[in-house]
Amino acid sequence: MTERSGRESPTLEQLQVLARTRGYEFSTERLTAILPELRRLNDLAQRLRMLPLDDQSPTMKFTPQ
Amino acid sequence: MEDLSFASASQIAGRVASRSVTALQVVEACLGRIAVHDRSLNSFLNVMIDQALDAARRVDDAVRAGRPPGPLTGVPVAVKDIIDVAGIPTTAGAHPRFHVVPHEDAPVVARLRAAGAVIVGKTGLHEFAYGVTNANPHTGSVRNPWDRTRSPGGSSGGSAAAVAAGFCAAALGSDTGGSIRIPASLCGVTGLKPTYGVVSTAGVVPLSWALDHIGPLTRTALDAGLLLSVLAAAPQPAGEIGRGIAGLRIGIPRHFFWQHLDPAVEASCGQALAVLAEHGAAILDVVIPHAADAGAAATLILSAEASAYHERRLREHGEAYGEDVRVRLDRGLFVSAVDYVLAQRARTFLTHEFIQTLSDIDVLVTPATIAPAAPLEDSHQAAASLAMSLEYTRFTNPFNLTGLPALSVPCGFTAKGLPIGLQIAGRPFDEATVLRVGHAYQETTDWHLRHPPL
Repeated sequence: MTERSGRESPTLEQLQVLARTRGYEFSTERLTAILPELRRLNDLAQRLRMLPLDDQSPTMKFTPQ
Repeated sequence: MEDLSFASASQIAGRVASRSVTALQVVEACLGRIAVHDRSLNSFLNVMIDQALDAARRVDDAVRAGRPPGPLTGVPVAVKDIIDVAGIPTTAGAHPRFHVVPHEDAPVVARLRAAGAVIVGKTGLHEFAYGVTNANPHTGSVRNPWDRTRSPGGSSGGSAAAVAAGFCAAALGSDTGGSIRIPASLCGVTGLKPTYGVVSTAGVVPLSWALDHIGPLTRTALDAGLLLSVLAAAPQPAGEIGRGIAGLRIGIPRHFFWQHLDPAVEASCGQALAVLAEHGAAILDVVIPHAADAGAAATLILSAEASAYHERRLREHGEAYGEDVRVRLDRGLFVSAVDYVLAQRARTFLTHEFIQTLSDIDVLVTPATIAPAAPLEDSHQAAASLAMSLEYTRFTNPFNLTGLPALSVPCGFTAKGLPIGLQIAGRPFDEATVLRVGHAYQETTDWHLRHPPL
């Protein structure tokens, strides 16, 4: 797999394809309503990709004191 | 009977157990106050009049028989309407299509009852607890007792408003991104989010399994400790909480947590640090290098998990959701599995970083919210609701992500009379030290004793 630089946020057209692929039925109006939020979530994920997470697993435990 | 509307839970329990007042008198007074004043606040979705009176009579019978039920004997408690109470609809503040009538109490409710508490009703919330304004298209908005044109904060806004208004001595809330501490801050009461996993979330409508917490809203830090001991079936920490804070090391993460504040919030929280220093605590600047990334991880986890829980309902009855909640849930359907795991890995990394910071200090102190209560008229539109979530959870959701215990205590008022909250967070399972700092602060300040004019 190769990746485009910058991981651009999806366009409305791409989102329509993605929704259909996943079996969701969305009107254009509803997809338009969530597009700004999806772009924000994309930006947040990009932000997390800047963290040094190479050694981190997603499991978390607390040890009682 | 003297007015006990603003008495603490421990005071009421002591008075009922010693038979200087009956549980029935306490509960009748609460119900009377709710009947008169809650029409303008809308803090309760369901007032359980008959059940509360019956429960109060049973408590009085036990006291007369020489068997006071426990540390909450006769204490009126409200329950956020996302938590099951047997035989009473759990509405989650949602469309009636989604209401369910549970056959059993949630374990937290069962523990309250076993300790002698009297459940007086179910309180209003942001729809499915997914938002901070409590502007709710299905139930109407809960209003802030200090200014009815403003939001009480959320999502446990009804619980905070009910305690602030003197309708009950304590209430249960849930906290996934700040939903106990934000309304506690904006309504001028005390709110505790315990360490992740310490209090059962069984019998509670989930929002995000990784981030959900249950905890108390009370008048005092001492009462928060009392309720926590009941909810977690742990020893009462009163002795530990009362030890004072001389010699404690209080960390101030000025970067991120003390930036971009409303001037009144900055002034009140700054003055609170001076009070803690007068008690003999050492105030130390600390740095949590990646604290500003915690909100990103929390938001991705919350988005994916909430949408996973609601997916079937969204497919079948999307039109039954309010617009702001529907946008949040729809967006979460498109979070990739890779991004969700990325956020969970960031959670591990950030939790380690927060705990590492706490290895050199005893607690972290920050403002609870960046600003005081916002006008309700600003919060009805979906875009405004989404923006307010971002703003008001800024200092609270890092402690949902990391699971650390965190408390909000009242620490001042704006020039317009709106409450301001101070957040105290500690090491995993060290609620006692967090409450100890809150209690020491409340011993020499009276912000938590002030009542809104109703």
